[in-house]
Amino acid sequence: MNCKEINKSIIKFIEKELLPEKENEFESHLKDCTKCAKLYSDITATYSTLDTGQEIESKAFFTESVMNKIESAEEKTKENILDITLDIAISKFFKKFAYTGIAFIIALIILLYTTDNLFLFNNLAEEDDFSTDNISSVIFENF
Amino acid sequence: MDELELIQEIKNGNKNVFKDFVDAHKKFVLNICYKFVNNIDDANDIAQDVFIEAYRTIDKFRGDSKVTTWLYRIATNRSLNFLRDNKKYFDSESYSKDPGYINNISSDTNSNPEQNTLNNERADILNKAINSLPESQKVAFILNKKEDLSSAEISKILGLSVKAVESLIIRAKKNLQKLLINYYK
Repeated sequence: MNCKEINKSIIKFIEKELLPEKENEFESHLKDCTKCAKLYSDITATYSTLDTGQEIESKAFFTESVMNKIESAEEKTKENILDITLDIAISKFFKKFAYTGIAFIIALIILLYTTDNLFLFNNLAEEDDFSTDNISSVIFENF
Repeated sequence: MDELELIQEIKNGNKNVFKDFVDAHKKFVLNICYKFVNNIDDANDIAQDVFIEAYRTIDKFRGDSKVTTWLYRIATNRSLNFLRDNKKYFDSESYSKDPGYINNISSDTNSNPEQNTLNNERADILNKAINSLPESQKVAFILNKKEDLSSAEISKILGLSVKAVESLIIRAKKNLQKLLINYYK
């Protein structure tokens, strides 16, 4: 094995994945090459920090904190649902009101228009004496 | 109460059962997150989010896989999201100076303090190298080497074939080797 091959096999050697023959070659190269031996030593020491098996403990009140977060998230969801329901009710009310309002305004306009026409007609009839009796008498007089 | 009965109770809205569930699994989840982010405070925050997500999505858990596989999945995704969101922070030097980040490897009072510092530095170098791996390789490697899971177990968590997981681990090791050689050469 040369230095290049050693560089490619360090982790395999650490993990005992090399064939016995290659493993022997690897070991004998390290005996003769201080540069590779130093590199192997550094990488082995670094890679072995994986095997510490160190475990950490949760902080105090971990579970309580999780439960509180869940409670407050549920409260928020409830509030949101309430807000959405209220929004829908309001928009439904306004929609209904808008239709009723428009219908009312249209009815009012029609009413005003009709009464106004009647009123106008009556006024005209009064002013020019265009009552139906008079009209007929005027027509007959012309004949 | 077996695992499925317990899950059904939680699905029915029994918060006391969920509280017991959190108590029973918090150390497990916390340590998965810690192995990804290497910071105790961050791992605690992420682990809490894992349980909140578990509670929120428990209806989707059909019991086809183990509860631990399901928790692994959520914890892995949450940790990766955290790493993604804080990429700049992890790339900067300030992160390694965070006292919470330093692994307390061999931190027993009997050992040599200089050796401890050296080990912490080495762990720091290795964690940075692992963090610079492509995401899928990083996950497969951490679950295999730090969590000591087999390729078959990892394949269930990641939803990949066993062969795909094995290939990810091999590529991760090759890349790590290159990174470490470049660092020490």
